[in-house]
Amino acid sequence: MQLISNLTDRALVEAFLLTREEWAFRLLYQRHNPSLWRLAMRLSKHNREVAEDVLQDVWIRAIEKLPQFRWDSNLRTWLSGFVLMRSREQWRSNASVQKRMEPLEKAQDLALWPDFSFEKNELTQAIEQLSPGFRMVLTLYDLEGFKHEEIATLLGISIGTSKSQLSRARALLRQQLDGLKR
Amino acid sequence: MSNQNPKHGENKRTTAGDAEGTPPIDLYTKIVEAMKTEGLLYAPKALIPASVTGITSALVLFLGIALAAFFIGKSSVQPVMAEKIGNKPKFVFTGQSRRCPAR
Repeated sequence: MQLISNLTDRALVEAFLLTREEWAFRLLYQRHNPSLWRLAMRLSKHNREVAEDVLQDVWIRAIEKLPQFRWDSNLRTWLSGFVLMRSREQWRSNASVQKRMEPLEKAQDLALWPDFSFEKNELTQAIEQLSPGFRMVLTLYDLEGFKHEEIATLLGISIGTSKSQLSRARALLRQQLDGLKR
Repeated sequence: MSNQNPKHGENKRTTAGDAEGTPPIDLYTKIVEAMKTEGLLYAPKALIPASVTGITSALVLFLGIALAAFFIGKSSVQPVMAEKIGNKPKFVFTGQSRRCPAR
């Protein structure tokens, strides 16, 4: 079992594609799901239900597309791309729901992203107030440790744009934190 | 940022706290079930229906018994045949009783 868990991602993926058996998938899941979960939670403003839906779709889509994966990037980056894509879809659908609910009370709109599972610290709150684009770049770079090259690939933007977005996101975050402190 | 210029990617879990927690335990089960439904994952047990397994084992058992019966029968018949063609063995085991045809 030790030997199997030491297999590289590539070997595991090949084993999975060859056998389509659960053990190979389980190992891939155990290896990558914690970081995907973290990312999904951060992008969904810590809504566990949304993150769960996102991850369920992500794994199914990723496994469907797995035979086409060319290993231009590492598996984690590739899987994170699915989380980003699915989170964007989630934002869009929520935005359309929000539009439909505009005449209702503001408090009800805020309930679209409910979260009572933990007490958010100031930094988390400030990050959540950023626009989705800024939040995404900042989360990927500062919290998830992706490089600008990887972010550029994931989001389909240039490296320069990724850098400038990050810089603006950080500046906004600083402002938000200053505002919270006062 | 609160931390003093950490090396990139080094401090990623502590920067915003450990607010993400762990994924729900049943998430894996849900994903696996969905994948099986979509045909993305094999369910090896379901590939061979129980009826087929039953028929196969019955067939194997029957063949085993038939083969055993054949060899037991052969071992008791062979000396008799050998006797008929004149190639008498000194001592034979018929499967029923011991006898010495030379006597």
